[in-house]
Amino acid sequence: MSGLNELFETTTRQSYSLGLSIALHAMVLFLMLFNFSWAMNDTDKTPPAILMVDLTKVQISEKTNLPPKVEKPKEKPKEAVKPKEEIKEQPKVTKTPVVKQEAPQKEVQVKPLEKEAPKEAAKVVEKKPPKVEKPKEKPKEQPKPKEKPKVQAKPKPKEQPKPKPKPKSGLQSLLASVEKVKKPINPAPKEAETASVDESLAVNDGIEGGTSGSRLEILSVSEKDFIANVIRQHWNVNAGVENAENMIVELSVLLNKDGGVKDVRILNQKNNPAFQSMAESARRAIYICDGLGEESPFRILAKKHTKNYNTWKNIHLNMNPIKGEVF
Amino acid sequence: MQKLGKIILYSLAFVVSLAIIRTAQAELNINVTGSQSEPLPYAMPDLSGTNRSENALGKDITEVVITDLERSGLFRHINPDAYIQKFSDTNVRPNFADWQAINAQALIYGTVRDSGDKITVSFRIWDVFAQTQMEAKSFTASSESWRKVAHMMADYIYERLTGEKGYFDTKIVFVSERGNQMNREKRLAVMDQDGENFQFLTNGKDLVLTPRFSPNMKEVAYFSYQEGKPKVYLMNITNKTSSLVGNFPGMTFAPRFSPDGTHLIMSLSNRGNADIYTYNLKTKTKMRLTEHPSINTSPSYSPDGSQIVFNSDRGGNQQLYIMNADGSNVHRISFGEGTYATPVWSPRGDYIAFTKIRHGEFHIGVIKPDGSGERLITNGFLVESPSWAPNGRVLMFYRQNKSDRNGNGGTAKLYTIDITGYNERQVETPYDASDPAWSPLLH
Repeated sequence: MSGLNELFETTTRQSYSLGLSIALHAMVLFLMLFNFSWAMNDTDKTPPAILMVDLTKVQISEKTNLPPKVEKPKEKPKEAVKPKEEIKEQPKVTKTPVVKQEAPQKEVQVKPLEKEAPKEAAKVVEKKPPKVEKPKEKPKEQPKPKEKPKVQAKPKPKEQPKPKPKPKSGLQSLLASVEKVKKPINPAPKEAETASVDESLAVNDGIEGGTSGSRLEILSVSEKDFIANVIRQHWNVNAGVENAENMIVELSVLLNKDGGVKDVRILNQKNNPAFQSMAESARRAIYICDGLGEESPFRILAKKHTKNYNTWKNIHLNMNPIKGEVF
Repeated sequence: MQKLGKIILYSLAFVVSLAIIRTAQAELNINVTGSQSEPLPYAMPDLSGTNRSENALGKDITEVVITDLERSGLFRHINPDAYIQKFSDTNVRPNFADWQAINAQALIYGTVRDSGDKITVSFRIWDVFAQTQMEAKSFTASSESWRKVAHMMADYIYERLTGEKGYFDTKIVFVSERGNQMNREKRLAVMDQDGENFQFLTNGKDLVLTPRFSPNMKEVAYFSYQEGKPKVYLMNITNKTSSLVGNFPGMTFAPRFSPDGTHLIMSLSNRGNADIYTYNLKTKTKMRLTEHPSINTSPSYSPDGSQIVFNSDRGGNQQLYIMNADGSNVHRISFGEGTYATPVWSPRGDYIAFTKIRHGEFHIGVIKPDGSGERLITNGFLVESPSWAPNGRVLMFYRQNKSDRNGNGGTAKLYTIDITGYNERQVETPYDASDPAWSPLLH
C-alpha cells in the first residue's frame, strides 16, 4: 500500500509540476504575444510611431531600371534606342559600340540640355578642354608615334557621326565626360594600350629632381608632393568634424600598369562614424583622381616610371585632413 | 682561403640583390596633409511613386530633404536636369558612370508608396566613385507625418555622409514677439527646426523668457512674470498647463534641465545677490551650489552631467567659470577682454558657446572647456541666446536690430550658424522671435 501511496503522491506531484510548467509557459507566451509598450510610455518622445527597416541586405538588381523603357522601341521602329541600353553596360569591351552608344544618347538628352543648359553640364565642359588639348601638346614634346593615334582615335569616331550636334557643346561635353569616366571603371583593356605608350615615354624621360640616382628605388620628393597635392585638391572633408586634427586615414592604393586605380583599401577602419566618413571621403578622392583620365597623378606617375611598376604599384597613403589649424 | 672569399662574395651579392628586389617591390609611402571643405555635390531624383499622387508626395518629401541638407551648408544638390539615369525602383544598381559624369559624389534615390493611411518611403545612398552602397532604409509612418519622415531621411543621409548625427527631426521652442517695443507681446511658441508646424504655447498675457526643453520633450522650463512674480515655471507641452518651480524666496531665473532630466538648475536672486541652485523635480528639494557675494548665473551642464559652466563677476567682471556638479572645484576658463554671458555646453562636449559684449557690440563665440581655442563666430548690435543643435555642430541664436525712441523697429529674428563661423542662415518665423532652444533629436 505504501508503494501505491508513494506512486500516487509522485503522480500527483508530477501532474502538479506539469500543470505549473504549462501555466508558466502559457504566461511567457502571453507576454511574448502582447506588446506592453503602452505601459512604459514615459520616455516616449514622439506620438507617431515610425517603423524603420534596414534595406542594406535586400538584393539589388545588377541592371538598372532603364531597360524597361527601352522595351517600348521594340514595338515601334525606334531601333536606335535599343543598343543604347545594352551598350551602356558593356561599353568597355570593344571600342566600336562606344561610338554607337553616344549617338543614341545624344538624341535622348538633347531636349533637357537645350531647355535649361544646366550648371552641371557647364562644369563638365570645363573638364573637357584639357583632355583634348593634351594629346596635341604631348606629341610635340615626345615625338613617339604610338600615343598620338591612340588618344586621337577615340574622339575622331565620336565627332564624325555628329554633323548636327556641333552647337550642342553642353551635350557633347557631358557625353564626352561620361565616356571619360567610364574608362577607369574598366581598366583592363587600357592597361595593355598605355603600357606600350609608357615604355616609349620612359626611354626619353628622366626623373625630375631625382636625387637617389637609381630610378628603381624611389620617386623624387617633388613627384610625391605632386601626387599628394592632386589628392589634397580632390579630398573633400566637411569642416568642423570633432577631433579631425588627430584623424589619420591610411589607404592602400593598388595601381595597374597604366596607372589606373585597381583597388583602394582603408587600412585603419575604426568604429567611429566620423572617422569612417573621413576615410570614405579619402577613398573617394583617390577614385576622383583616377577619373581625371590622363591628368590622374597615378597615370602621370605610370608614364614617367613605366619600367619601375613594382616601386609604385602599391601606394601607402597617410592622409590627415587638417593642415595647420583645426578649421 | 679563395673558397671562403668566393663564398663571402656570393653571399654579399645575394644579400645586395635581395635588397634591390625588396626595395623595388616595396610600398610607396606618400603623406597627404590638408583637404578641401566644399559642400558635397550629391544627386537626388524625386522619390518615385506608382501614380500621380504618390509622385507628388515623393516630390514634396524630396524637397524637404534637399532643403534640410542644403541649409546645413555641407551639401550641394545637383540640378536634376543633368541626371541621365532615371529610377522607378529602389532595388536597382545605379549606372555609376552616368553619375560620375556629373560629379555626383553621393547618389540617393528611392520610392514612396501610399496606402491611404500609411506611407512607406524606401531609399538607398550610394558612394558614386567608390561604387558602393552606403545605406538603405525604409520608413513606414502615418500619412500625416510625411514631413517627419522627410526630416528623418535627411538625418540618415547627413549622418551617413558626415559621420555625425543629423539635427533635422527636431523642434525649437522660442519666444514669439509682436508689437511695439514699449508694449511688446511675448508668447512661448514651438515649431519644427525648419519653421514649419508653428504653434503658440502661451496666450501672451505674461512676459515669458528663456524657454528650455526637457530631455524627454514633455516639458518646457521658462522664466515668466506669471502671477506677478518673476519666477521659473514648468509647462506640460501636451496639456499646456504651467506650474511654479519650487518655493524660493526672491527671483528665480535662467533655468536649464540636467542631462538626465531629473533636476532643474537655475539662479536664485535674493537681496541683490544671485547664486546657483539645483531643484530635484521628483523630491522637490533644492541644493545650493555657489555661495559667493557676487552674481553667479546662467548655469549649463556638461553633456555627462559631471560639470557645470556658468558666468560670474567674482573676478571683477563677468567671466566664464566651470565647477563640478556638486559645486566644488570652481575655476575660471575665460580671460579675454569684454564680458561673457549665457554659456551653453555643447551636446558633444567639445565646446562651450557664449555671448560676449566687447566695445559695445555683441558677439557669439565658442571656447573649449579647458579655456583654449576661443573663437568669435558672429556679431551684431544684439546677438544673444546661443542654443546647440543636438549634434553640437550648429548654433541657433537671435539677432535684434536697434529700435528708435518710440520703440519702433528692433526686429528680432532667429538664425543658425555652423561652429566654423560659416553658413549663417535666418530661420523663418511668422513673427519676430528670440530666445530659441533646440530640442534633442526626436527619433
